[in-house]
Amino acid sequence: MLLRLNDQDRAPLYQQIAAAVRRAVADGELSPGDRLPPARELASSLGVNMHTVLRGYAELEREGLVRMRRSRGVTVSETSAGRARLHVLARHLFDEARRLGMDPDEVVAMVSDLKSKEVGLR
Amino acid sequence: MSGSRAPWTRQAVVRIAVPAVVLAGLVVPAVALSSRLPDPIAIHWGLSAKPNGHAPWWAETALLSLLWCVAWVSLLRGGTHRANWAVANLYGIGGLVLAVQTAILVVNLDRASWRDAPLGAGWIVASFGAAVAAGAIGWALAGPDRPAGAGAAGALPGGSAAVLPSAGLAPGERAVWADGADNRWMLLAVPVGVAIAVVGSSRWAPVVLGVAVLVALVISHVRVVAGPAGVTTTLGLLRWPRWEIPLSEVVAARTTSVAPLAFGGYGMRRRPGLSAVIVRSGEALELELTSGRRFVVTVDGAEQAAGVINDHLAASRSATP
Repeated sequence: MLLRLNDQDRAPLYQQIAAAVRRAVADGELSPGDRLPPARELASSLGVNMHTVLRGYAELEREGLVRMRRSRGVTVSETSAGRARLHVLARHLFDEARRLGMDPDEVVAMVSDLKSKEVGLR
Repeated sequence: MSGSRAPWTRQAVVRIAVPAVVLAGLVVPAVALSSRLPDPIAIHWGLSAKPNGHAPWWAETALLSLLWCVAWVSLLRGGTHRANWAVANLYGIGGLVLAVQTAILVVNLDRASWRDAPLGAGWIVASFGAAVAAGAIGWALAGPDRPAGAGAAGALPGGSAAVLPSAGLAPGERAVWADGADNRWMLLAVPVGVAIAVVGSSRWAPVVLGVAVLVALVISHVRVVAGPAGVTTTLGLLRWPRWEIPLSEVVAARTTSVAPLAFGGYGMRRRPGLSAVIVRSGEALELELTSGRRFVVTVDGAEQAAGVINDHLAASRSATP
């Protein structure tokens, strides 16, 4: 397993870790069922507090991307690959919008508009 | 062995022909003498030289042959890292099993019953002597240690390659690599092997078997996490023991290929200038440390692991003024 992080990224580290895992799942580098390293070992290899990593893992679990179990540790969940790709795409959307000078709220409005059009078409 | 012969011929003799002869030496005399052996034969003795364990001659011979073949295969599958140690250890095992088989056959020969076959202490001394002598022969036959990943000519010392592996990390990019190695055979083989060895021999057998299972659980599984701060290695399904090596203590990372026999077996190994965690034969990550020691751990994908570590080292060196 390879997680990539960028020094230029100014987001909180736990979010960077979660994003790196999402990217890895979206790229196919991590597959459903794969085990992520235990928080303590990931933390010591990054030189960060264990709770930073746990916070990142907790965010991934909330999204349904991973499952945390005492016996098996942290594993990538079965339904995760597609979800992770969507999350990465959404991230690209916001990054692109920021580059264009567009407000994030405008992006949300754009997506809501699309959603109602989608619903209307059904 | 003349120096003018092609190297592979010598290796073929050392690694294939001689072990095959050992295997024949285990099987052929047993078959040839089987009619003069009692059924079953004595295979286990207590402190008083009186036999306290028995089995059919073919089962005992088959088991010794199987143990020998397992050791032999693990040498063939391993790499060239510390090759002369691997061969010496294998030949030591060969000397031991040949001596054990000889002792068992001789003390059982022409006996009416397995109970009439005492084993004198002299046999035990002779067996260890044979093991040591065979090991020395193996060391002599193996020839000079060829560093891993290098050809016969133009090899660099210490197993180093001319170019260190790199994972292609961009400037400002950091990565965390995680993987490990498993040995499913170990999980099965150690308890089974110990069970066969201790069956019926004493009331401590269940305890010994329990310990064997625990040992197998630990030395059949290793995990490594390598990141910008350092490398963390954990052994066993309980992830203990663990070793943490800060990046500041690493000079370079390389890949190598190991044979467990070169380190004297599986698990945690410590030699002058070398610490190793070996759970299987094959590819391994090798760290050259600032203390001069080397740390070797068997992992899948060692090339990428070494690349990530070297990239982080390069980044930290260019960062410091």
